[in-house]
Amino acid sequence: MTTSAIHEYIEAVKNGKLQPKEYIEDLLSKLKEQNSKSNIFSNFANMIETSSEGDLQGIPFTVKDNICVRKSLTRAGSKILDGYRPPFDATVVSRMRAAGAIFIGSTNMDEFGFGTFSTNCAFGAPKNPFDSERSCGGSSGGAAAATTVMRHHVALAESTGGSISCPASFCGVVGFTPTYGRVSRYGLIDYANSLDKIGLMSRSVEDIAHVLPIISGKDPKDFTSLAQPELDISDREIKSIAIPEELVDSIPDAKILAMFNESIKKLEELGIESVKVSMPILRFSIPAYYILACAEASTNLAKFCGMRYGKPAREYNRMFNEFFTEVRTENFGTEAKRRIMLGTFARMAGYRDQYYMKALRVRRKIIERFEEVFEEYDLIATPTMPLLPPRFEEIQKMSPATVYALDFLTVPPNLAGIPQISMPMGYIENLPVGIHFLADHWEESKLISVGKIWETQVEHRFPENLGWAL
Amino acid sequence: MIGLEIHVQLPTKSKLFCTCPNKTSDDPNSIVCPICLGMPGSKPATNRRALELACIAAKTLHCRPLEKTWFSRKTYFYPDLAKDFQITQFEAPIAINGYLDVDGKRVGISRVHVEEDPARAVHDMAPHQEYSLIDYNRSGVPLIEIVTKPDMNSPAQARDFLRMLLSELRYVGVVVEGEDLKVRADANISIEGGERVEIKNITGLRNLERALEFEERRQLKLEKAHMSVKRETRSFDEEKGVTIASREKEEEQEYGYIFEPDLPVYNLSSIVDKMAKPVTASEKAQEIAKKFNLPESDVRSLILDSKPLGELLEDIAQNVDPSRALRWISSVVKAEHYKHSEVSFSLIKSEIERVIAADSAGKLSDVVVKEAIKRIFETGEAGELTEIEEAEGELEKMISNILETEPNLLEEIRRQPKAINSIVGKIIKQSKGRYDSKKIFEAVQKEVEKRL
Repeated sequence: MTTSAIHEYIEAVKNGKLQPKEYIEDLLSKLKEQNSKSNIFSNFANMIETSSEGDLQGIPFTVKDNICVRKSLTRAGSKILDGYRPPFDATVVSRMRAAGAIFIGSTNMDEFGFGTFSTNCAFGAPKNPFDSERSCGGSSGGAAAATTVMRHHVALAESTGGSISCPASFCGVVGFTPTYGRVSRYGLIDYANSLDKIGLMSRSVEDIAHVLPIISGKDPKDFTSLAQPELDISDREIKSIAIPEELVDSIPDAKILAMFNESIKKLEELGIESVKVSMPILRFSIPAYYILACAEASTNLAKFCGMRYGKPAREYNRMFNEFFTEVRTENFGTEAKRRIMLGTFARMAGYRDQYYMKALRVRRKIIERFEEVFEEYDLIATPTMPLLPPRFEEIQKMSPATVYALDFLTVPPNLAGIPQISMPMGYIENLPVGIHFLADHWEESKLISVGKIWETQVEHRFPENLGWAL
Repeated sequence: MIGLEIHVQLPTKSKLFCTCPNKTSDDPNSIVCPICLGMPGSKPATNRRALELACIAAKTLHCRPLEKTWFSRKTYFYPDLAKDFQITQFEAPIAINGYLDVDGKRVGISRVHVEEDPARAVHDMAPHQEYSLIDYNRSGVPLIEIVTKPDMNSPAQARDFLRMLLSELRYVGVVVEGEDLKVRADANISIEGGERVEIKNITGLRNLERALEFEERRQLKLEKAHMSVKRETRSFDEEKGVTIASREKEEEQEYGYIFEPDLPVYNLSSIVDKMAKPVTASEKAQEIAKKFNLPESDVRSLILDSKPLGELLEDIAQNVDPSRALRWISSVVKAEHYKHSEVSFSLIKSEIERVIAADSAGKLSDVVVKEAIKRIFETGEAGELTEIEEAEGELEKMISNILETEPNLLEEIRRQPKAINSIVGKIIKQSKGRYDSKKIFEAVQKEVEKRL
């Protein structure tokens, strides 16, 4: 069982047992020392400003590298944004600061979120705290690893197609992805605007419940946040869970599947009924997702051309198109280039109807199917990832299509924009395995409720009890 | 056949997707923010007023609003485009299928949509400079694009259409004064049996006509020489007055439109349906002309020139002779109004009415009316109005006196008949407005002729 680190911390600060400034400065020096090996952080805060007000008094928080932090290096894992210091804070960052939380650094990620293992990061892949030969997952890999190694900490992460759940699962922490439109995206460096969701990672569900209301809510700077009903995180009774058989039956790892079946049995013992459901439409999730995400990404990445910010070209005396080409050729990584080409292709005249428009219709159908299931059941559950955190050498051998296919469990809810929580389900070969709960749009409270129940069933492992600490 | 794509800036307080003021500045890049600069992480937030103005324009042009409307991204790489895509409208514009009648000719309107203006690229900062500069002050200013059907048959007709369109839009408040010079248009022109040529980015009414005239001549010449007109995009060189083939590729531009995912779908049709159809200048002119039995074309040209003058006419014509009201408002009042644009009609309306009423009663000479109106604009009051007072033989006597004291005047008139006006001027002064200028002129003419 885990206790809320935030409550513990705030109590200690209140009782004068802990000085946030000293604590954080000490923490930072350890993190910096460790970073040359772990590569969790892409940048550390320049200055620590403590505040004695707000619900998150002195709590350190990290920010995924694609969320803007004023005057602080923000590069979205890309060389093309090298040297970029945004002139403003993202709405989530200013809300965290207003609540008294303290920004300590930006965490490494796949370039612009393009990846499942954080290996597509221009500044090196972060290493899994459970085994430094293995991936943290992605694309919010640094955020997950930071959450594993720090006890009193909350990570702002972001998911487009599973980028919170996957690394949370691989790093043995809680990853929470709210409903699309719940948390303002103002200040998020866009991957695919119709799919991007800023969420949280922490060690306990209690912490998520504490911080989620702070970062949620309407923001006039992000019109897609304006349609949301008010966030309610009060306890809900969870009666039933649906298990999509097409998804679960496709998991090749027998040990993960067995652990999942055990977990469902435990939930049944706790009075939560589980039913297998058929959702055949979900098999179109991966192609629909990659078409939409890449189509949007290819327009979002157009602005990076070395003209207004980020890394400039070495020479200026040329036509603008040659100049743009040089900057983009030199500074985008292979995966970014692949997705720009894929996305541009999918929206060009002659292909647009066949790919982009069709993918939009598929997404609509997938949302409808999810809604039907949630009319009957409170939640859906699957394992979070179909494999254990792979070794970096294994990843090198995977083709892009193989990697894309590994997202088949996390992509469907992300495509539908429904909220998700990934939590430790157990450990295989000393590596964490995650369970994924999904709820209907705006039903975050059901995820918090099931999370609190599930948390009592698994003993979480962290560096402290693994025998190594920060 | 000529069809136009017209871009006009909307007079909103702030830009289309951010809170930067919508104004011009000589200080480049001084009216910018992360949104109109397209900084990473910034998002557009739509200015509702721009959508409303577009709806008013659509209504004025008798267009049908679409049930649902949304924005799209039009992607192309160009340094003046902050995000390297433009937020515009593609599948679902604000409204479609309207028309505008110009001198009995109906020009079809295909669509009206809203989009953001790109920044301004400055290519000629200094001679032989090897780079261009970009001024983002204009980036994100709201525009409406109006696309016509190819219904115009001559460059003059295209010019008249555009002038009328701008006047009508100005009348309903969608366009401000001065757009005649600033309006940007792309024109498609083809002669019978020939391919269509697009002339891009023509600025101002005058240049539109010049560009089309040149292009028409060029195409006719080609035809005469049995050469075919190539389908292509050309640009207009304002200095030389010629169109030049652009270096762009000939095939249709590929913009890869996607839906703008940061903005919602708008349902404006309910707003537009509820919106009272704006009374257009033409309709207003018709109404006033009918009510006061005035020539419609005169009333319309007054209204199109200035909405406040039209309102003044409608107001005053109720209490005075309407034709006199039209005559004075279209002439002296209009000229003084442009000279003293700061003077509000609400303050001086009653004085103007007093003068025109006295004139309507036949009591005033035109000389007095003119002077009185000028005084109103300068001091707010017309002052005392000298009434017509004629005495038999008085004018003739005054004229004789002048001709006797200045005998050289007759010599001058022999050489240059126009010199007669100097005598008219002297008499107007001497008679202190008691005589109409026409009467004075006739008397002078008569007296001079006797002596020549």
